[in-house]
Amino acid sequence: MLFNKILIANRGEIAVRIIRAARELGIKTVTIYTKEDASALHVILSDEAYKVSSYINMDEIMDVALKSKVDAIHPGYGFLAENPIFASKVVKEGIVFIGPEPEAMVLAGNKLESKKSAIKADVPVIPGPLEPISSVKEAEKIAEELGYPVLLKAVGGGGGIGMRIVRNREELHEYFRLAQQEAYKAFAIPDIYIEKYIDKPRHIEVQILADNYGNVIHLFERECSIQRRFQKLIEEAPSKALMWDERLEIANDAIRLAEKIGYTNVGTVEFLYKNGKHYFIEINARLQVEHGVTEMITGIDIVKAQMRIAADKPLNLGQGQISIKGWAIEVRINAEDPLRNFAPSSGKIIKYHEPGGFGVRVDSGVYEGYIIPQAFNPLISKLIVWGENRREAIERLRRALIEYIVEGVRTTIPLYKKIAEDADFIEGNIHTKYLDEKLPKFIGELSIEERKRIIAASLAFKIRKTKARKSISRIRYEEYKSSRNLNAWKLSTLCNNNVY
Amino acid sequence: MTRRIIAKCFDDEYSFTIEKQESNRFLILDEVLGKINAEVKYLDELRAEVVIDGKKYVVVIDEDKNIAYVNGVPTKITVLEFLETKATNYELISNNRRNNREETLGEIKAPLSGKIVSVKVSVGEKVSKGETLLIMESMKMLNEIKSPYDGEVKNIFVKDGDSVKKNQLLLKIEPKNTS
Repeated sequence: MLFNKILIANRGEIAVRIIRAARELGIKTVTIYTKEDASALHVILSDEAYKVSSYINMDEIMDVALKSKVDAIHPGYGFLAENPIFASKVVKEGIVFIGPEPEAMVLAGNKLESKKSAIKADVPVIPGPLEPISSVKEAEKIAEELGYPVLLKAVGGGGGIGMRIVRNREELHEYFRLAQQEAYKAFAIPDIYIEKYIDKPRHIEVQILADNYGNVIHLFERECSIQRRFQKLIEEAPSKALMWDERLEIANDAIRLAEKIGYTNVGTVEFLYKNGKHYFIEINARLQVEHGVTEMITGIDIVKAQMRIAADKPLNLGQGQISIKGWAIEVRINAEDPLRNFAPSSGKIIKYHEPGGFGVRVDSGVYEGYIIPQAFNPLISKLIVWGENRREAIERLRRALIEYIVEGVRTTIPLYKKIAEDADFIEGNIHTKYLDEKLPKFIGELSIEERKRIIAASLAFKIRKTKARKSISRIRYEEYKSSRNLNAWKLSTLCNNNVY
Repeated sequence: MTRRIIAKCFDDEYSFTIEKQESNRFLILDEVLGKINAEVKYLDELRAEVVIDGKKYVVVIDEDKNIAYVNGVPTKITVLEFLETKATNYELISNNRRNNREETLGEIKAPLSGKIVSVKVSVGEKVSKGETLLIMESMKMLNEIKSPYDGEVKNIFVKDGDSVKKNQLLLKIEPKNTS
């Protein structure tokens, strides 16, 4: 057996995903939970669960690990997953950290150092200096050399934080300090660097497996071009953009970089792709949210592979044994309201039904009756479909979205139904600005349905025939309309009489 | 008899008229959707089935939370109902309108919900059009709120670190040359 017992320092769907892999390998699981998460699915499914004050409290988590006598800790993604201090603490206690070495996390966390490594490994990068920019003046000079538009990026970066597209000198002056502040707040490093901005690229990333014996293989690429504010919403594998020779070239670039830096465990090398050229952007030193699409087309369980590598086993397959079969698409089901600027929607899931059938996989962290807490990431589940080819995968996605019932909270499902019907998506004409461009159209269509729902709700409210109705009728519509600033007293009277 | 309905859902306001036809049929005139026929079947105190353009909407009302679940979609909603009258006091309306404008002129509101990172001005300070008044963070992005006109800062209602809702009043500016 690889391990006897592991601790999963995470929550939600990814904690459930890791429990499943562990259980299949005969490994016992320990999870942690905060006060908001006492009835979360990962707590129910794990063998043991302990309460902590937060998912990033390293001392408490280490206490749980020692108390429950685990052999290894899996950090999932987010929270402590890429924190080298945590990884070091774990190792110091003689516990295995299921992830890369702390040194690799430090390197991956520093975007400029990663970029330098890429250059050393002969991997193409985006034009721009390899040092942080100290002043607006210097930024101006470089931006002029590169030519506008340019992109400001945080050295400590990730997730779009501190990232700003700058189209001219005025914007540079405006955004430079803001980007520094943003970066400092998020990563405690204010350093900003500049790159040439690549307009409407595709986001392509390569999944890497690397054991402790110097063997590095790739599981081909994923395309994650459907994003909103640099946050991925839909991912697929493989990418429709790549010819076979390009596919192998990008994958080999990723392997070369991983080898150069001595990377171990699983990781992702991210690229931008445009007009037949690819450019390295960053290394993700963790299991990624979208790993499932790669599993679907290669048949390899990436979480199990992670555990095997962490248990010091050599890779049990070579590059030649890995091939692509079919096509997979994942949509991230977020408890967010697309109609209201993706505001988080928390509350109780009143009705819940997951789609099923051939080629449908749902990695979820919720169940019917579960109350979605406000405190965390809005991701409630990932719907992953597999098809013989991209066309069938999209048809299956549409079918599965129709079956997927989530009542009681608002989700991104209605938006995905629109995307799955969109001609450009179907044709594979996508890029990282696709959603920004299409969103107004999708929202317009969705808001017609919303209007009908509101009319239906208003009519239903007529059944609440209270005495108060009379007093409301007395306030004339014109009066209401003309005095938009009804004072607080008047307004509360109206509302109180109208508590439905 | 025609009634005007104003439904406030989250931050949006929807306005339409309804006219009762025979039995439980209604004719709705909506600003966007135009003429709509709706049929309402009241199931019980808290539930109704509404058929709009042939599509069925099941509405369940949750009184505690002021929420209607329409085919399971939670819809936070306040419904105001008015008698549509012909008599209109134009004088009064225009008065009120002007008052409104004076009240809202110079009010700087939050464009999105988020957190105030730093207030860049103080009360009494002269500001010019385009000058940054404060910086707020929403959805992990920092946004500068700029003055729409030249003027003087009258009131500041927020401080660094405050969480603010969309449309919340942040500060007031007295514009130069107010008419």
